[in-house]
Amino acid sequence: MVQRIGKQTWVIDEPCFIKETATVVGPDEYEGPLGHVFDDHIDDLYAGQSSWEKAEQRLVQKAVSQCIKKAGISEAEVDLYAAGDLMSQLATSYYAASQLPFPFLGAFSACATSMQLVALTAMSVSQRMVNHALISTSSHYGVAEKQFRLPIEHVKQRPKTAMKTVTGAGAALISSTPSPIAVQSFTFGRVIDWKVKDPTDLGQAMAPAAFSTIDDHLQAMGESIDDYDAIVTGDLSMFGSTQLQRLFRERGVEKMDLKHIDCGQLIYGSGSKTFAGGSGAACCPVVTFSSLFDHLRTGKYRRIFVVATGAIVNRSHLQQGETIPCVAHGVVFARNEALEEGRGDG
Amino acid sequence: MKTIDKLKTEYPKERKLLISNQWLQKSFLAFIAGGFISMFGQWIWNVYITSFSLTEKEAIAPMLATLIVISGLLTGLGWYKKLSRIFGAGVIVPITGFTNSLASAAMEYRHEGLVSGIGANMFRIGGAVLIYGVVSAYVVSMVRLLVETIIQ
Amino acid sequence: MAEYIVAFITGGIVVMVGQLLMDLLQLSSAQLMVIFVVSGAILDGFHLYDRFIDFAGAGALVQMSSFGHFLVHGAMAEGERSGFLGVSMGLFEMTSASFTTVIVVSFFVAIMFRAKG
Repeated sequence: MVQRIGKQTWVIDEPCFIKETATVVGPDEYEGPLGHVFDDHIDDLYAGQSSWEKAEQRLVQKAVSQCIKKAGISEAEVDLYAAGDLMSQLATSYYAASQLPFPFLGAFSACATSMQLVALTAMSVSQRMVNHALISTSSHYGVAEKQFRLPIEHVKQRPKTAMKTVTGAGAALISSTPSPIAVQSFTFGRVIDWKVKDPTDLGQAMAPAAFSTIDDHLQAMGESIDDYDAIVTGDLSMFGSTQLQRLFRERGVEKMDLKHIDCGQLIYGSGSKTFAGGSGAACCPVVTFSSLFDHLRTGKYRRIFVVATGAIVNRSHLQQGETIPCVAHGVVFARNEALEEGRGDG
Repeated sequence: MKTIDKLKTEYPKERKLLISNQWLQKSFLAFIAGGFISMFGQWIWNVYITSFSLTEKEAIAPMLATLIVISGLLTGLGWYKKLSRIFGAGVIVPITGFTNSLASAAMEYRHEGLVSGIGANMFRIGGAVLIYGVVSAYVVSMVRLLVETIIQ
Repeated sequence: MAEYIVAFITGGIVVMVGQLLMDLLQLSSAQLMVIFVVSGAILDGFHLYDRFIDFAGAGALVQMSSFGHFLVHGAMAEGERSGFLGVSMGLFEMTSASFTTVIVVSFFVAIMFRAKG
C-alpha cells in the first residue's frame, strides 16, 4: 500500500525494490571521474548511427537490454515500461519502445523525469498491479542543443553558469521481489517559478524547486537532513548548489553542504572549466543508478533522498518573455537491511 | 518567508557580478583574435594585390572569399566553435562568424535531406543578418538618395 | 608594416566593442551580427565607413559591418545611375561575391562534414 503523509508526500508500506539498474553514457561522461562505474559507453556521439536522434534511441535500447539481462529475467516478465526524454513528443522513448514488447507509458517533466517515473512505477508495483516495471530516461547533447539552443558547431560563448546536457541513458527495474535497494517514500514537487529568464542559468532557476520539494518532504516525514546519508539533487550545477545551500541556511539548516551531493557536478568532476556541470534527463539517473546505488549496496550509504530537478525551457515561450518554471520530484532509496541479515520477507 | 524574498532580489545582482568579473579578460581575448583575423586579412589582401596585380578594390572580394573558405573548413572540422569558446566575439564579428552560422546550421540538418534539411535550414540563424542587412541598407540608401535629390 | 599594426589594433577594437556589447547587454551571436550589419549600413549612409576603411584597411573590411557598408554602396552606385529603382537593383552588386562564396562554401561543408559535437 501507499500511504499519503502530508500534502504531497507518500510512504510505501508494502516493500518495493530496485531490482537492477543499467547505465550507458557518451564519450565525455565516460572520460569523467565516474567513467568506471557505468555499465557501458559509446565511443562517439553517433554511436554508429547516422544521426543523433538515432544514437539516442540506441542508447535507450542498450540500457534497457542491459538492465533486463543483468536482472536475469525474460522479456515476458516485464509488465510495464515507462520512459521519458527531452525531445518533443518524447520521440526517442516512443521509437525505442516500438522495438520492445511492453505496455508503454511516456512521461515528461524535463530533467526531473527519472524520479517521477521511479515514483509512478513504485506506486503501481507496491499496489501489486504489476510485478516488474521497467523505466528508462535518456538525453543526448546533440539532440538537446539542436532542439533547445543553437546548432552544435555554431559559435557560442557561454557564461560560467551554463551546463552541458549529459549524453546517456539510465534504466532501472522496479520490482516486488526483495533486492538490496528499497524505495521507501516519494514527494511530488510543486511547479516553482522564481522569474528567472536566462536559459543558460538553469541551476539557479531550479534551486528553489529543489528546496521546496526537500523542505516539504522533510516536514511531512517529520525528519531532518540528519536522517539521510545524502541529499542528492539532479542537475543544479555549481551555482544552483550554492543557491540551494543558502536557501537551507536561511531556513536554519546549517549542515546542508555536508549532506548535499549534485549529480551534475559529480559526472564531469569539479575540474571542468567549460561547464558548470551536467544537466539533462539522463544526468540524475546515470549517476544515481550507478555510483550512488553502488554505495547503497556496499553499505556506505544507508538511506538517500534523490531529488531530480527539471526546468521547462521552451524556445517560443522564452522568446515571448516568459520565465522558466521548474519542478523537482524526490524519492527516498534505502538499503534493504532485512535482506542483508538473511531474512528477506518481501 | 521574508529572507527568501531577499534572496530572490539578490539573485540578479549576483548574476551581474559574475558576468562583470570576466569582461576585462574576455574583451582582451576578443581583441587579440579580432586583431589577428584583421591582420591576416590585410596580409592576404596585400599578397593578392602584388602577386595578381589587382587594384585594391578588386582584391577585396578574393580576400574575403579566402577568409570565408578557411572559416568554413574550420567549422566543418569542429574547431571553430572551440575557438569561439575562448575568443568570443573575436570570431563572431568578423565575416568568418557569418559563414560559421550558415555552415553550422546546414551541417546540423544534413541528415534531414538535401532540400528540406540543408536547404531549408541554412539560413536559420544567419537569415536574420541577411534580412536586417538588406532592410537597413535599403532604407539608408533610399533616405540618402532622397536627401541628395532634394539638395540638388 | 604600419598597415598591419593599424589593421590589428582597429580590428581588435571593433570586436572588443562587440564583446562588450555581448557581455553587458547579454546578446546572442545572431543579435550581435545584426547590430554590426545595421550599424555598418547606417555609418555608410553618412560616408563614414569609407573613411574608416581608408584608415584601417582590412581591420574594417573583414568585419560584419562591411557587409552593411557594401550593401549601401552597391545600392547607392546603381541609385545614382538610374534613380530610386536602382536602389533595389544594385543592393547586392558589391556583396554578391561574398554572399555567393558563403552559401556555396556552407553547402559543401555541410555535404562533406558532419557535426562532431
